[in-house]
This record gives sequence, structure tokens and C-alpha cells, in this order.
Amino acid sequence: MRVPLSWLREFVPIGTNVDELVERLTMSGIEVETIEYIGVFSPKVIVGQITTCTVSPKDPKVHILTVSTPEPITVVSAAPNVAHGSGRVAVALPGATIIDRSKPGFAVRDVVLATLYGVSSNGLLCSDAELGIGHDHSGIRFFGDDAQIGAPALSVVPIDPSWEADVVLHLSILPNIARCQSIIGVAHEVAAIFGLQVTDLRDDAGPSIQSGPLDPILDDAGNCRRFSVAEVSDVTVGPSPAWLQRRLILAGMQPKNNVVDASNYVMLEMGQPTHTYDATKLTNRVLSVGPSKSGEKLRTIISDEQAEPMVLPSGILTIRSGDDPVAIAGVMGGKETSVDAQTSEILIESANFDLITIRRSQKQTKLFSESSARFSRGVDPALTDRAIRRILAILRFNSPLLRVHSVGDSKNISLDDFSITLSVSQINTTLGTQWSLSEIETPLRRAGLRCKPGTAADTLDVWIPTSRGDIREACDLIEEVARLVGYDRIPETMPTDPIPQATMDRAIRVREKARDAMVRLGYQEIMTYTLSSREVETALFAAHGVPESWVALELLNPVTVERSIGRTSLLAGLLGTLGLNARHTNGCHLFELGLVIHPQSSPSGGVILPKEPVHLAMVTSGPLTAPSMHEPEPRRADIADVIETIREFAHLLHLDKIEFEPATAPPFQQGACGKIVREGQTFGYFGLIHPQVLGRFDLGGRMVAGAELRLDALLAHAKDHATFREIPRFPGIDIDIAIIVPEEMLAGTIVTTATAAGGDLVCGVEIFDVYRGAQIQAGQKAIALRLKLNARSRTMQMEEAIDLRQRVAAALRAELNAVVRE
Amino acid sequence: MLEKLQQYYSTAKTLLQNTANLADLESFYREHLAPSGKATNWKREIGKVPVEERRAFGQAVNEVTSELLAAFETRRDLLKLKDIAETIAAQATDVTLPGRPLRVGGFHPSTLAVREVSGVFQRMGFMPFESAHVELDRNNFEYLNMPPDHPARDMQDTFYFSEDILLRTHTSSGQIHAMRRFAPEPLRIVLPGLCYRHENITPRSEIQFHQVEGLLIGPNVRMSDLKGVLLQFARQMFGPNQQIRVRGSYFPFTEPSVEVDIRCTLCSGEGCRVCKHTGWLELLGAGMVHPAVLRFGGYDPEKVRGIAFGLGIERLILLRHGIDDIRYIFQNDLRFLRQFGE
Ligand SMILES: [Zn+2]
Repeated sequence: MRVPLSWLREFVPIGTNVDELVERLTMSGIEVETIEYIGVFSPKVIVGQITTCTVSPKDPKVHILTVSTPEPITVVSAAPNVAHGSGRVAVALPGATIIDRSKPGFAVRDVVLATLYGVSSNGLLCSDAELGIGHDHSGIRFFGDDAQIGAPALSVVPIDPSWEADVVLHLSILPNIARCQSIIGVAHEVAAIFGLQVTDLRDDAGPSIQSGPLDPILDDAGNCRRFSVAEVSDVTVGPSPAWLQRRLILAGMQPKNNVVDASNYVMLEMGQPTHTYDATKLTNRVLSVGPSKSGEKLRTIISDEQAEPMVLPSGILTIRSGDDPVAIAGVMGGKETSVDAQTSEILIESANFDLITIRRSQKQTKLFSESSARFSRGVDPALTDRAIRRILAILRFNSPLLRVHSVGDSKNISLDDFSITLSVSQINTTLGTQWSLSEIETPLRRAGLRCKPGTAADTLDVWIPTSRGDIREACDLIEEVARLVGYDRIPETMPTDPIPQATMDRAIRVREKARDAMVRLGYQEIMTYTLSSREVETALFAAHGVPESWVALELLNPVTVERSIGRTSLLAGLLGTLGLNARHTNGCHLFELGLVIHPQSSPSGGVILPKEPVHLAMVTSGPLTAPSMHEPEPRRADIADVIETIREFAHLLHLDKIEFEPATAPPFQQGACGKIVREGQTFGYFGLIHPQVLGRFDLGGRMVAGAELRLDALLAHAKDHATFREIPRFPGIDIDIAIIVPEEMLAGTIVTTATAAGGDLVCGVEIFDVYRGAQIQAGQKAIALRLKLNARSRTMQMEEAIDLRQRVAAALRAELNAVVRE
Repeated sequence: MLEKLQQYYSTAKTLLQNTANLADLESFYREHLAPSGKATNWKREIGKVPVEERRAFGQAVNEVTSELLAAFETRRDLLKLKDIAETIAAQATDVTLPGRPLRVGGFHPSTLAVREVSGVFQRMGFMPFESAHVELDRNNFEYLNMPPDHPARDMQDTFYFSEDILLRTHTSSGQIHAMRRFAPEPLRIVLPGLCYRHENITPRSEIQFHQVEGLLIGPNVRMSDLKGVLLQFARQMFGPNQQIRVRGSYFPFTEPSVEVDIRCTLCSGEGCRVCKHTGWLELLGAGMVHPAVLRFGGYDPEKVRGIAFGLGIERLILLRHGIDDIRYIFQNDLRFLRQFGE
């Protein structure tokens, strides 16, 4: 909503301090988005002193001047009175907005740096007309020598309400201040804030708009709450008076003709949208309100002559004349019945509609207007008749002979005030204040709410008029009191209620420990988008084929196709990020911890809430540290790094019984993929990312190892604390065994067999070498094991160790068919 | 004999003085002072000298041995010091050379900020609570006092999966879940998490962002508690002299609704470009829980009141680090992420 202050001043005697007005509006919840300063109000229009003046070599009528502001600037001017002057002038600097005299009617323009007659002009010398302080445009304005150089020009001239110069506030209209979508609404708000009186519109002489022969027929559903009409003849269609055009322009609307302008003017002033029909074009002057019928068409006032009329969505609220829709109620009128240059007989519609209905109409027709902007937030139903009277008063400027033939006013709601009882103690216990009854009553009265002492002591009955649709219950009134008294008057206290007993969700705590663990393990955390694309998510299956079971939750209204489905994995995002970073960073070791979205199938086939498991995924690729003089080619990450990361991760989170098994799973390559298993349950996969998958992420030719874990499922098994194990106090013995086994034999199987055979004295089995080559038959491998033995309560004896070694060797021979090398 | 002993002593002493390092010294020890060494062997000679000279000779042997041992020890201390000096000389380093690169992990800046903000509230007794990102329309809107087609829905553009399933536009949807789980008990929770808005990704807007919301419900909760808690928060986050400014605003789920500003951290309130010359920066939205929301959550608004507040984490990051493009946050350029060094 644009509020020209000159217009606002007509209703409320605001001072000249714009900053204070803006500050107080802001504090009370009315956000001022921008402030437009026009003409002399612009802080960039200042007093300058002409110091040199030369004639342009290109045009003798043009002068090139140096003006002290006090910094000297060069200005080009074609004003005829410049040549005589050496005095003080009004200079508009670049960024100032002045009144544009090159166009007919009222217009403004921004001053910019410009090259004129081959000279760069750093400003503009203004005439009274350009400053908006008079009509003289024959030459530039000169000030007396007492005008201070560099001061705002506004400080030199006494402010006059007749000026065209103005200040326009752009207010942001939140849903609770729909009433501020009009000048008078803002005036009431300003009055309440500053404790001022509003000068209401005088109800001009004329017929009262009441129930009559033209009473419109309201819809059955009650979505039209009130509908006033007036039939008027002897109207002359022509341009509006200049002052009215100027106000429309300042408020952001374009003047059309006096009839349309009057309707717009009253909407801006009072907040009541109206629509004017050419009465002769209506088949029936008794209008009705009702839903559109299937297939009905309407050519709206904004559609061009050649275009096909729009097919109305079925069931939206329309205004009808006879059998035809003549307007989309509250949104837009029809072209066929609109006012044109020949119109002399009009029908003014001034109605009130349910805001939800208008919001649906906007959504369905995708039509938005100044009218629907107001109806969709709520308009005071008391205004319909007054708006018509105001329109008639405005039309009389051009059409003094107009005559009102007939009127109508139908309504299905009460326009009476209703009351809410407020108690002083309720306000004070809610706000934590100790305000008195009068402290509470004063702002309510200023806001135009009638107050009477309630029946109970220390209570107040507050009467709510129809203009305050935002106030429905006591809490709304408490807010009204708080914001008008000022939130700064509420003290700061700490809560006095005891802290509830509930403890922190274990899943959150352990999950954050998992994030810490990954950082301790040297990985950088990333956060990618929860929304991904089918293309990216299925790229993980580039080598394996997309499984039939793969499904994703798809948005109905994506902004872009890149963000159109819920991600089903974290690895795709990680590989994408790796691909981006690989352009400049060679070694990347990344992890992400976050949710993935797995749709659930619903028995009825519709969309139901998905599962949102939390996953942890990591990728590691390239040098483990940055190359340096100490190590020009650091070791590069491979699958063994991921294996140890998972093992150490499990240790840090007190997760026991974690085992690895070979597996085949996308996006990992055959033979370099494993699964993470605990007690027979799989919690994730790891391995080297398949080269075909890497190709899809701009990572061709690199080696990338990675893993993705079902973290929340896994962490359910994490212990809260470590299990303490006694540190051996007596020396143990390490003893080695070398065996030859077939290539397929898994290290894990060997370790398990050796551990089981060794019994209690074995506190660890380590594989420290795997050898394939000359001395070993093809298809076989030599494995060196180290048994770490400790008797715990005493020193381990060599004889025992040799016995044990033999026992383990025998088991490996018997159970695994291993050849033990002596 | 005594003469020979004297000769040995002077030869051995010269040998000892000539040892150049600890290894030489060790072989000297083995040759002379060890149990079968030359000095020890002299003891065996004692029996071979005539009886009347034996006592004097024995004494001489002992003297020679103990003097050699003493000289050995002196020599050993000297060589040890020399050895250390050599090691030190060999280890001299140009300390202005680069060090050996380490591999250090790091957190995403949003994690750090979420933890910091929710940590301040946790220390005031607010317990973390989380809920689903994909939500029912009623939990995200209806139960928060925004029925279908409510004007406030214009304020939040929403991603929909179906007519009634959407990506939550605020963590306030979690308020409903928490209230329904704990009502009628008092509640003091903080709700951190990602939220989503149907927007174009530009330097100033993102389709996802983190919010941290707080919710306090109890029989004695007051608007002044909201101011107290948020002042405390502002001081913990931005310094002990911070001030807050509370001004009117609108949210459908709170009544009264306010915006809370802090003194501009860049200009300390003097006015600068970042604070648009007001001296204040918008910190968060807050208010008293609307009675309708309390009712939807299973509370009796006659018996309890609530306060709620919510702030955007990424906005805070941009503000604090002077970042002018929000797209950095989820682009995950390592050159960006590594700057946060925590
Ligand atoms: Zn500032």
C-alpha cells in the first residue's frame, strides 16, 4: 500500500517528521518497506551556489555551470534565467526524484548522471514546478543568500499543503492489518499511535443508499455478505481532475477516465473496492450473485479485443445480470458491460465478499487486482453504501448534473458492534505487566474501540466495530493493548515455572555424537538439498540398472526439475559435491548426515507420509593430505580407508559386533563392495564407486571409496558408554602362523576360526601380510597371522604359546583346509 | 710390576681421553672395566707378587681401577652432553618453512550455528525436539491457526507432494507433535531443523534453511518471560551488552506477535548499510501461543499460556560472517566450508 503523506494529512494532522512516523509505525507492527521522497522532499535536492557559468559551444541557449554543494560539481542547464544568476539554487543530485515536466499530467522521474551537450552533468538545477512547490517552470528556482550551501532544499522553503512534492510510504500489508489497505485505515492507525483525532469524510449531500428496487439477489451460500448499488444517469465520461490523477499516480495506479478513477480513488481512500457498469449494457439492472455455471465465458476488462473470452472455472462467485455473468465477484469486471467514452448511465456496485471465496477465485482464475487484494484480506462490510456516496461526490466534479435514479442494498450480516470483556488482571498476568485500567483503556479508545466498565470489578467491556475484523477474542485485544502501549513497556523476566522433567531424545544425542565422530575421523561435513532429481538419484544405478523397487516421492509443484523429488540416498549428493570440488581440490573426504525420503505404499494408492530414515554417507578420494615439501605425493584414499573409518566409527559410538561381508550393491563396483552387518542384519554398504557411476558425476578416471549407512537403525544398538576391559598387567606373547589358502578364502573367516580355536588366551588375531606370487600356486594366497596371547593373571609361558599355536594351526588345517607353513 | 701397572694406567687413561663418542666409550668399558677387562685382570696379578709387596700392590691396583672408573664416568657425562649437542645441531630447522599438512575434519557452518543457538536455549532448560520434514497440511498449517485459503498462507510458499502432504515450511509443525505428546504437562522445548520454501534459488533466497524454534508452555508463562529469555539469548550470542527491541508483527499462530531486533553488530547501533541505517537488525519472530493453537495441541488455554519464537539459522550465519550470498551454504564448496575451521 502506497500512502502519499499529503493525502494522509487530509485525515490526520501528522507532523512533518517522517522518520518519527516511520519508526512509530514500525514499532506498532506496520512495516514501512520503502520511503519515496518526491521533489523538494528528496534529501538529494540541496542548496548549491553557482560559482562559474559558461555558454555551451554546442548550443548558445545551454550553460555549463560549476556549482558548489559545497563540493564543486558540473551541471548542464538550459534554463533561460541561469545566465543572469550567480546565486543559490536548488540542485537535484543523482538518485533524487523530481516532478517530470516533459510529460502531460503528473509524472515523476529519477535524476541520473547524464551526458548533455557533450558534458557530463552531475545534477540538475530545478524549477519550482520540478521541485513540486509551485507551477513556475519558466526558469530555475533561486534562493536567498541566507540559504545554507549543502543543506536540504526543504529546509529553505516553508512547507505548504498545496505542493505537488510529496513523501510516499510503501507499507507492507500483513494479513492482520488489512484495514491499512486504505488511506483512512492508515489514518486511524496513525491516530491511535500518536493519540490524534481523525477527521472523517463528510457525508456529502445526496441520496442515502438503502434497500430499494435494485436490491441485488445474494448467493445462497452467503459468500456475498452485503451488496449496495446505485443507478446514475447524466454522467459525462472524461478525464479526472488533475489533483485526483496525481493522487492515483502517487498511490501507484494509472488514471483512465473519471468514472473508473472515482472508483479507484475511493478504493484507495476508504478501502472499499467498487465496480461501475454501463447500465445500458446490462440485460437486467437487478444484479444477482451466484456461482459460475460449467463452461460459462467472460471477457474481462483487461483482456484485449481479439482474445478469446476466458472460460470461467465452474463454481466461482460471479455477479450476474439476467442469465449472464458480468463480473468475477471481487476480482474483475467484464468488458462487455464496462464503461466507455459514450457511457452516460451507470450502475455502481459496492459489495462485500467473504475473503476465502475471493482467495479461491484468485487462485482458480489466476487473476489478481487491487480489488481482489483487498477482498482477499477482508474489507469492512459497513463501507459499501458510504463508498457509493463518496463516488457520487467525486463524479460531481465532472458531472454536476448527475442524477441517482434508483438504489439497492442487500445484506445477510449484522453491522452491529460486539463486545469482549477484558480483565485488568488477565492482561497483566498474560503480559507480565502491572498496568492500570486507565493505561489499558486509553490506547483502546485511541484505536476507536468503545470501552465501558464491565460488570465485574476491574473489567472492561470493549466494543468491536466491523472495521476491526482482526479482533475476535480477548487475545487479539491484549495484542492491541500491548502494541499500542508499546512492547518496550513490558519488563524482561525469566520463566518461573519449573523446568519440565522430560529428558532429551536419545536418538538426537547419539546422532550428534555420530557427527562428531566423523569430524574426528578427518571428514568434512557437507549439507546438500533434501530435494533432488530423478536423474541424479538414479545415476547411482548406472552400472546395475535401476531396481524395480526404487521409488521416490515426487513434488506436485517443483521450482526446477533438479529439485523435484525427495532424495532417496545421500551418496548422490556427496558424489555431486565431490564432482564440483574436484575441479579445484584434489583430496576430498566428505560426509553427510541427514534424512532421506522413502515413500511408503498406501493401500488406496494415494500419497501417504513417507519414511524419513536418517542416513550417514561418506566419500573419500584423492590424497589424504595436501602435497607438500615433506611429502610431495601423499598416499591416496582407497577402500581400506573407508573400512577403517567404519570400524573406528563403530568404536567411537560403542557399537559392538560390527562385521563386514562381501556384497554386490549399487553404486559400488563388483569385487570391491561390502556390507555392514550386525547380528545378521545389514546396516549399509561400502566400497569403491563404480566407474560408470563416477562418469555420471564428472568424476571419470578417479578412485572414490564410499559408504552409506542406515544410521538411525544402526545407532539403536549403540551403547551409551564404553565397556571397560582390564589392561593386561603381565607380559604376553605374540606368535605368528603362516598359511596358504585358496584365493576365495575370506580373511574374516580365518580370523574367526583362529580366534575360536585359540580360546580365552587369544586376545587378538591380526593379519599382517597377504602374499600372492612366485612361491605360491596360482589361485592360492599366503596369509601371515599374528596371535596376540595373554594369560591376563600371570606371565604367558612360551611352551603354552607353542601349544596354542599348534592348536590354532590344526583348526585352520581341519576347518579351512589351510596349508600351514612351518 | 708396579711400574707396569703405572704404565697401563697412563695408557688406559690416554685411550679413555681419546674416545670420540659413546660407542667408543662403550668398547673402552668392555676392554678395560668390564668383569673380564684389562683393569679387572690386574687383580689376578696381586697373588703373583711377593708377599711383602702384595699389600701395597693390591692397594695400587684398587686405586688404578677406581680412578679409571671415575675418569670413565666423567668422560661419559661429557660425551653424553656432546652427543645431545650434536643431535640438536642436526635438528636445527628453519621454522619459517611450511609444516607437514594434516587432515582435519570439519562441521558444516549450519551445524555449528544450530548447535550454538540451540545450545544457548538448552542451557535455559529447553529440551531439543524433532519431527518429520514431510508433513500433513494440518500439522503445518491448520493446527497452527491457518485453515485452507487463510491469508497467512501467502507468507509461505509451499512444496506439495499431494494435496495434503507437503514439505514443512517451518519447524512449528513440530510444536503440534510436541504439544500432543506432552499435554497437559508443561513444555519447554527447542525445535531445530530444516524447513523448505517454494522459491527460486537466488543470492537472497533458498529453498531450504534451518530454523531453531522455542516453545514454552506452562501455567505461569508471561509475555515478559519471552522478552527475558530472548534478551538472555541475545546476550549469550552477541555479547553481554546486547539490547533487544520488540515491535509488533503478525504470525497466525501467535497473539500477540512480535519481531525482535538486536543492536546492529556491525555498527553497534550507529547505523550502517547492513542495518539499513536503523541501528537494529531483525533477529527473530516470536509471540504468545495463540489460544487456538494451544487447543489444537491439547491444552486448555484457560489453564496454561505459551510463548514461542523462531529464528533462521542461515540468516544468522550470513550476518555474522558478512556473507552476501546465501547460495554458498548448500553449494558445499570446500573453499567455503573450510573457512569455518571448527
Ligand atoms: Zn548497522
